[in-house]
Amino acid sequence: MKQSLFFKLLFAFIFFIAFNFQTNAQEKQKPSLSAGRYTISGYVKDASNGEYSIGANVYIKELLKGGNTNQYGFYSITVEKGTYTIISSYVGYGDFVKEIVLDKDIRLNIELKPTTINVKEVEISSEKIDKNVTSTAVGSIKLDMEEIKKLPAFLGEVDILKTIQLLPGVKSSGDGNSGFYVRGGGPDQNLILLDEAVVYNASHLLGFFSVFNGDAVKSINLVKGGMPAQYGGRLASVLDISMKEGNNKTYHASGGIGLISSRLTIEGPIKKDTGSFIVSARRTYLDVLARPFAKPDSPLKNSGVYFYDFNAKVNYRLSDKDRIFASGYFGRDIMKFEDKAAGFKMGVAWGNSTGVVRWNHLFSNKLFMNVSAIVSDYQFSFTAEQTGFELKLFSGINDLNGKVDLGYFPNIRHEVKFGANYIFHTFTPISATAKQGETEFDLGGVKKLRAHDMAAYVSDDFDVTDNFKIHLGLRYSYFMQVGPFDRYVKDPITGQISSTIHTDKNKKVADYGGFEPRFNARYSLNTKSSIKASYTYNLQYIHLASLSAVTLPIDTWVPSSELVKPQKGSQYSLGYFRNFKENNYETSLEVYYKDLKNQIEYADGSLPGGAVGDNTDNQFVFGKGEAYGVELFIKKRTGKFNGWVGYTLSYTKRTFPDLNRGKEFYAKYDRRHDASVVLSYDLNKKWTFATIFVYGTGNAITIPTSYYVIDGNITYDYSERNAFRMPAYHRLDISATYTPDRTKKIERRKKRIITKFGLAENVKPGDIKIPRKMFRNYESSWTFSVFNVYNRHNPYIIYFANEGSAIDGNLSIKAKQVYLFPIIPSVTWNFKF
Amino acid sequence: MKKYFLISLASLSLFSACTEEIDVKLPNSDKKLVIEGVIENGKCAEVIITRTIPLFSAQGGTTVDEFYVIDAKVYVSNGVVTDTLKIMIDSASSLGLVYKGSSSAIVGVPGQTYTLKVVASDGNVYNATTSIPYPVALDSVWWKAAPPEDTLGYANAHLTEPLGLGNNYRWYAKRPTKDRRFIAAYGATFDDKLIDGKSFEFAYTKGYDPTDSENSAENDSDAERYYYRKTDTIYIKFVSIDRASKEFYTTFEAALSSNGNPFASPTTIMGNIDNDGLGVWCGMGAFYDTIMPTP
Repeated sequence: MKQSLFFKLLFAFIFFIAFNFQTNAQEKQKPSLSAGRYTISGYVKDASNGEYSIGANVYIKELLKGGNTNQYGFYSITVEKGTYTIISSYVGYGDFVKEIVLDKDIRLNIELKPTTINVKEVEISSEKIDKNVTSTAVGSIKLDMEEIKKLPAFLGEVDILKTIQLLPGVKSSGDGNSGFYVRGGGPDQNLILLDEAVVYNASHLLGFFSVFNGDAVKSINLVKGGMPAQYGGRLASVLDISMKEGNNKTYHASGGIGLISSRLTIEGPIKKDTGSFIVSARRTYLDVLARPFAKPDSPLKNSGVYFYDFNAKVNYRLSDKDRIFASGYFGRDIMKFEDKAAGFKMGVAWGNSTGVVRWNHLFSNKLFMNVSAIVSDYQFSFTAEQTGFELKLFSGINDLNGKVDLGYFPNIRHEVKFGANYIFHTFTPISATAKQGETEFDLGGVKKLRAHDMAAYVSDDFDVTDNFKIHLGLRYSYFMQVGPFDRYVKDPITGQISSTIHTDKNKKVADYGGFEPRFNARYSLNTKSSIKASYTYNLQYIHLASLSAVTLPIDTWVPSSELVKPQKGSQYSLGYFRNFKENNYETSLEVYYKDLKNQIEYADGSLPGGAVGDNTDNQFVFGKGEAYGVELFIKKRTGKFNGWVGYTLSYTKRTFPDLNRGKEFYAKYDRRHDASVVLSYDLNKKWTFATIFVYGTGNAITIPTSYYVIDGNITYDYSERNAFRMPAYHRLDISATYTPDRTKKIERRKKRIITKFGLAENVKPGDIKIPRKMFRNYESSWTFSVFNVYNRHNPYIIYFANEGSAIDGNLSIKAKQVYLFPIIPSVTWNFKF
Repeated sequence: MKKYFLISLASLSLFSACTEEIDVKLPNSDKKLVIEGVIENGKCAEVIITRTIPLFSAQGGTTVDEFYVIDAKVYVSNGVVTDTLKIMIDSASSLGLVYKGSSSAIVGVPGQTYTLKVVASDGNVYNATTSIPYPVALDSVWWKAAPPEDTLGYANAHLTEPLGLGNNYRWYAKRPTKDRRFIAAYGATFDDKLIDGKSFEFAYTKGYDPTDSENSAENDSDAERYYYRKTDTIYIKFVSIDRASKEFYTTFEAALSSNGNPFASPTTIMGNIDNDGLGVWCGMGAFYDTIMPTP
């Protein structure tokens, strides 16, 4: 009851404010109430294509104060009447500078011109406020696609998830795993958002690729510490990915043809400068390429693994105050295997789909609102057939999500955000149907689980003094699992289900709620350096427990229930940030400590599919964890030669009363050292080179230490949990991108035509006219890359194999490793017109 | 049941290419006692006692002899009588050396509970308790061809499962002329969680005895690796076991299928021996039937 009262009050508050400002806006022409103060507000866009710039700097030179554009490119600054120089800057773009006389409220939409990245150095205004040092964000990193696209890509596929794993504090789970670990948190503790929609499984092909198509993505923002109050529901991080809106000036197509996959993107205006669309698609075709080489009777003939995905987005400006966006993603991975000789057939399919409709509205030049309706869906299915035995397994999660977010900019010292969010989750834990011939087995049917998940928040970015800035946030979240639901109560002695407690539709099964305070502070020591601190407390109501040693698409999400309490995490972090050489170099040193409660693992002896016909959470055990570490980051932002170096020293521990005899153990992804070096060099207009080096301590795993015999079979006895370290992971990748110079090429062709037709006497190259319209924007490039240059065999997994037999007296047990990628050269052709 | 096999098979077929042997330095481990004890209705207790061996202890090969514990004191009690088991050679057992009870002292009776006590030579004492469930009879058993083969096939059975949850089963079979002992089939252990009270047909492939060098995988013709011949006589032993024993055997079977499977995480085998002993003390309510050669 307390919760519903809270929400009622909150909604009342939101609508009160919204209404209030609506009225204010209508009275805009009258003298402002706070006499002598005026607002300059508007949107910041890319001049070349009309895309809104997220997180661009807009500030007043004279005051050295300002703000950043929000997720929709909007900014608002309210200051005393006066004459000011407005500067807007954004990496990769030339600065916008304009002098304005502020004696009334001004709407200023800014268009930033991209600097040709390959050629010119980005201009730097000497007094530039630098975000690295000045924002309150501690443990937050923003990357642009342009930056990511320059790096060597595995098989030519630009991969956002692989790139963020190069940042300190973010750990890769190794080759073949797109799952990532942030500051000692599990893979389920990352909130991955694509245009605000949750993406539950961010990997394709068991993790070889991420689901994010680089051509459709505009920017990504990673929050690994100091999570602002507008985000919640996960303990470790937020990866907020924004899709491109599409060029609203002219039509363009771009794409790439690679060794195993191709992609195509088309974008253009619906109405010039008003609305635009973008559609993007990808497919891998290794299966198609392999098939002709398979022998007719080989299982390969009817088998294959591939994925495809689509991204689409449209946006339209209804008026100066209203814009709508609709975007969606659909992707599927398909795996087929058929061995006709053995009479065995199976198929696996999984994938995400998301759909988002958003409405931006400006109540006034100080109050911005976004309303979103979101659908997120993840499904997994597995079917197999052998000798009359048919098995189907499936699982998934579906979210219906409604969201209101408001940004209020009362004056230059404050940026207030508040909003509310409601999600209805439908979980399908692993369910199965099976039959042998005509006999249907009762596998418990499909038992969907449902839950309400809601939250409301308010936060303020507040300049307390010129040197001291804080972000104060408070979030309240509430979660309720509702019926229909059957709880299977087990007899502690027989282990059999002794009774079933049924909960009716929409009736409460279990509920939890709580306040989540968020606090970030920044103190500037001078213009070049600052100290930042943060404390955040997060609650997580949905969980993913994994039985396998690697992340597999079969892992299922489960809600908090009577048995599963919400995960709780507190994080403390402290950082020192310093820029050098006129902000050309950004450096930071951060330390963090995390305290985690109600962590989840499968109980010892749990079997895959053990939850069929049972409650999944009956298999879980619960414990606590802690994580701490130091992160060092040095980045050169500009110039021909740029890149970064990141290093992390960290510890991640877990303690479960029912695991490892209650003794503390290292989490699988505990990683003592993690380092990455990322460099790129723009030699000239034609050539860009890049290289990546990564090093990480091996994963902590459990391995057999001795063996014994049961019923004549060799059986292993295992070490303490995660007592063994896999060999360290390290790898070097290089790439070179060649962009032919179109103008020179055209000139050469003209000369060739003249020579060929013997026209030299009558015609000069300049006389041959090429329809410029057609070719003006045509660009193509070749990317050559070598993945794993020195052919390091990084272990994907280690296992043990028996050779010989005990009875014949020649038994020996060997350790083997599976590694996925040897040295892999690749070439991709990219085009754009 | 079959599905674990299928999943691992599928996973393996994807990546079998890049596998190589590596050197691994193992964490230290203590030697542990391993007990595999059975008491069946109408029979005396049989207990095999061995030790764990460090994984890489013998690069040149390890023989079964290194496992045996032959100097333990082994007692079985039904609450009234305590029998002291004696070690003897038994070629029909998996390892050949077995502690056996005497038929004049204790013979397994369905519904009764039995305790096992093993005193090792180092003074450590290991205890376990089990009971023998009432046997559940199969309605019928027969051989059935595995298409497209017509002379190779499965052992089939029809079961009317008694109503009421809590029954656990394990399937063994033996070809009297070819196998030296009863062999558990792949996925031999199951419970009635999903089949309670149903009447249905099921089939098992032929199990494989890793201790039978005459019949090891290399010597078996491919055809007979998983299948029974139409001409085979097959003895079926269908046992009812208690919950702890079922936990042991299901986790043991899962562990076996995860051995050598790079994708599986280690399965902890849930035994019922105390004091850190490994293994099981299992009461079996056995039902026997025979599949005669199909004409």
